[in-house]
Amino acid sequence: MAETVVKIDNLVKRYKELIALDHFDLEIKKGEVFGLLGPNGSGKTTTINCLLSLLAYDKGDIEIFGEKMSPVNYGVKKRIGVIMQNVAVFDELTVYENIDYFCGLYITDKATRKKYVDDAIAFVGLEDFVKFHPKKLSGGLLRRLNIACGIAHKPELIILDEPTVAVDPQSRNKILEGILQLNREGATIIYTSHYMEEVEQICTRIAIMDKGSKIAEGTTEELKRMIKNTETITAEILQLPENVREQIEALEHVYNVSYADNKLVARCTGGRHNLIEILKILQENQVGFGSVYSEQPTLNDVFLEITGKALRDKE
Amino acid sequence: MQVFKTFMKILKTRLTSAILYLVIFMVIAVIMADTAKDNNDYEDYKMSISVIDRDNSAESKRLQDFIFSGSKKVELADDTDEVTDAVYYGRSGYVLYINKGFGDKINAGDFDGLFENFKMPSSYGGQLFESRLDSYLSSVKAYMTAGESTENAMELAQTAVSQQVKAELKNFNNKGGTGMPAIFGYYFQYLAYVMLSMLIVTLCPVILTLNRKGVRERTMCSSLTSANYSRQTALGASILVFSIWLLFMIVAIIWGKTLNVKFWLACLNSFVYIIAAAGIAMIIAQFDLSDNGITAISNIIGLGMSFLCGVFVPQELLTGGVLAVGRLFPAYWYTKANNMLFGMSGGVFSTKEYLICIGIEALFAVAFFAVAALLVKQKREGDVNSLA
Repeated sequence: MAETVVKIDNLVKRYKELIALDHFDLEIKKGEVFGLLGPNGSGKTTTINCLLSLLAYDKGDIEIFGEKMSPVNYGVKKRIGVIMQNVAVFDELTVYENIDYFCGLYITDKATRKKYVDDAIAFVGLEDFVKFHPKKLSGGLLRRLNIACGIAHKPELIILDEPTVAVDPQSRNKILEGILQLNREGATIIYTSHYMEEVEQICTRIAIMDKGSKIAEGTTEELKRMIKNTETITAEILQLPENVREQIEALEHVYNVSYADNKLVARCTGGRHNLIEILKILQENQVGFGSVYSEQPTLNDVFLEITGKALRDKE
Repeated sequence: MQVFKTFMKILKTRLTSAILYLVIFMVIAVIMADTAKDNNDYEDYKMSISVIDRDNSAESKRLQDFIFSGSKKVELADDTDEVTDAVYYGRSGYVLYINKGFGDKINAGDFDGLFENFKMPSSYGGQLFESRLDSYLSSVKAYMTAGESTENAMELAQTAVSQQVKAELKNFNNKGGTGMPAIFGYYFQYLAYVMLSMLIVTLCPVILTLNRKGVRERTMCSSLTSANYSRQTALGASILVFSIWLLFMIVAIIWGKTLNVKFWLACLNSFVYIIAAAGIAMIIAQFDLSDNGITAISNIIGLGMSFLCGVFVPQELLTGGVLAVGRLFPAYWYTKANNMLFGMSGGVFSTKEYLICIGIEALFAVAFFAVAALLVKQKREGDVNSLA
């Protein structure tokens, strides 16, 4: 059985009247890429800050690598790498100097540090920019520098708090690939995001948070199995007669039908031939249709079904 | 020593502002040194005047008595070339022609068309002389209207117009006879302003950069102990403070050459003061200010404290109210000790009073650092309770 790297027990954090974390539990095993998914304000960053002892909490216990976490547990801190949501580097230093500074907060041996800094630069692909100052870097390169500063000391546990916010798709993919590479090299990853696609793409296990509580936890497949919806069928139809709608609703595995903006959306639970059955009804009733497609449930569907609201605001 | 090295690297980017202050200070010091050389001399200025008397009457002679009682007489013949040359080459500042019939006109009470003149255009001296002459003639006219004879009226007018304001030049330099150049007093005096300003524009941005949100959080997450972090920051700050002080002392040693006990006491005074100034800079560094904010604060505190404490205006000339407020700042005690050492602003050296001044400056330093430490603690606790 894999070693437990992070164990959070019954964590409570209040900001005056607001409960930011409400009896929150979590256990993360070695080698996992663990995703903390939730909308803005759900308590992801508060959890991370409590975990790092940057934030005092009201109740609960946090253990990392089997030791109680505290602001002075420098032994544990040495094994953790942090990549914050906002880029946190010195504008006055070059790319190399920045990585060297943050690596030097953990690694005192000069030769080892030099090797680690070079490795980190190569890992994020900033070899051509070592003498650049952060202000001269693009947003994507700046994010890469931010990551290099957090991982240069080769930590065993890496915490990434929304590292892809405001990053272009190309840089985002590079960052996600890098995270998986770090995991393959042996690091345990905690990844917070409100982008469900990213979490689905890289995380081995996911906890969905809302209003400071964990509302679901498991692998992507486990989470999807938790909900009724197994398939969503969408068809573009100019005019849907009421009797046709009733026939679709009467199908065994269809539990919800809606029609708006010339779009028929049928949600199904179980059943293997739902799309064929719906198309058959449309043809029998000579109802013309445009594009038709079937979608598997997403984490957003999971979140929607559990909380009754979408995971993220429309962007 | 990562934090210390980074402290120094960030400091390097801030040196331009410090050098700017240094250059301005040195230029002012050199100008002051130049003006301080002969600032003990004062004498009443007398203008060179020539009078060409075409009337030769008793009245015109009396007028000449009046004119040369306040001016230097330059003899000139009634010759246009000679007059032109005298004015052009500056031998005479003003040539007054007394027209024929001057005496008769005065006796008749007619004051028009009495004179002609030749002078440099837009000459201030000429205007001053004409103004004096007008006053004299107005007085003569007034006395004659009051019933005095022409002779009496001219005598009385001369007495009235020749009344002089007694001028006194106050000297704030070296009354105590320190055996050091007068400029030394000013040099050390202005250090109160320049050292504080230099510290604010260099130390504050470095501390602010190291404490920037995000960077500070990353440092707090690292395995570097907070004690080690504080030690490295303190080392960087100490080196900066000591370097600024040493720089000014080296300049003083090279410049002054005459180094006696009082010079070394002035050095000690400035050393204790710069530590108090560092305390002020540390307090300012705890507020999240922009570069412009730091410059503004540097000007407000630096200039404000200097004016209230007698750095720019001698303490002897400040009112009781201003001095009472000034006592609440270390610059007042620094300046007071400095005045004693250099015999400036009525200061007379007394070991006991000097030590009191140094002691109060040291107490200010302790108090400022205590407040700065308290703010650091509050800020850290605030972070721990209000992140996210």
